[in-house]
Amino acid sequence: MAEPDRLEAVLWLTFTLGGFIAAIFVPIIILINNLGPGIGALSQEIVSYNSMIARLGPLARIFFLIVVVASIYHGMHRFKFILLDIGFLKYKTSIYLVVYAIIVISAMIAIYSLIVIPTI
Amino acid sequence: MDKEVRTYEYKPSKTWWLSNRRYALYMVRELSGFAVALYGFIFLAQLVTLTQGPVAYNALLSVLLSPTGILLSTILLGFAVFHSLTWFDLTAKVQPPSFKGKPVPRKLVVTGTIIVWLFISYLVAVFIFRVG
Repeated sequence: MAEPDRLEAVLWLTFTLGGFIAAIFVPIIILINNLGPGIGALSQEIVSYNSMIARLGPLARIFFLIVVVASIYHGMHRFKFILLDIGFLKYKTSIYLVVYAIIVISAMIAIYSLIVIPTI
Repeated sequence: MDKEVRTYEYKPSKTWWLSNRRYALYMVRELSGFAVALYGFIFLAQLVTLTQGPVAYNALLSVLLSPTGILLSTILLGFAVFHSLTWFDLTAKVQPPSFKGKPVPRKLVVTGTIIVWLFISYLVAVFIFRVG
C-alpha cells in the first residue's frame, strides 16, 4: 500500500484553513480599509498613517499577519489549479515552485514588516 | 512481436470551461480565490509602506483611494464576498454537521454561518479598526 503523502495533506489542510480565514475576514477588511474611505462612507482618518500605526498593537499585528498569509496562500493555491486547468499541465513543476516561492517570500515580508512597523 | 505502447495524453482546450455554465461558474469561483490573494498582496504593500514612513504610505493610499483604486476595491470586494458565500456553502456540503444523529439542513448551516460571519465582521470593525 502506498504511504500517505503527509506534505500534500498539510498543504490541503492549510489551504482549507486559509479559505476560512479569508472568507471570514477579507470582505470586512476591504470594506473598512479601502472601499469605505474611498467612497466617503467612512472617514479617511481611519486609514491615515497615524491611525494605522496606533491600531497595530501586538494582537492586531498577529491578526493581520494571519489574514494576509492565509489569503495569499489560499488564493495562490487555487490560482495554481486555474493555470493547470487552462492547459499549463506540462509546466506543473515550475508552476508549483513559483507559486510556493511567492507564498513563502510574501509571508517573510509580512513577518518582517509587522516586526519593524514603528509603535506609538 | 513487440507492440508499441502509446500513452494517452489528455489535452483539454484552453477554453473548455466556457462550454458549460457550471464549468464557467467553477472557474469564477476559483478566480474569486485568486482575487482574495490579490487583496492579500495589496494589504501587504500597505504594511511594507508603513515600515517606510508616512510619505510612502500616503503615496500608496492616494492610489488606493483614487477612482481606479475604488473600482479595484469594488471588484475585489465582490469577488471576496462571492468567495465567502461559496466557501461556506461548500463547507456545509463537504462536512455536513449533525444534531442528535440527524443531519442539519444545509440551508440552515449556511444561514447560521453567514450570521456568525456578519457578527465577526462587526467585531473586527469595532475592535480592530475602531469604527464607531
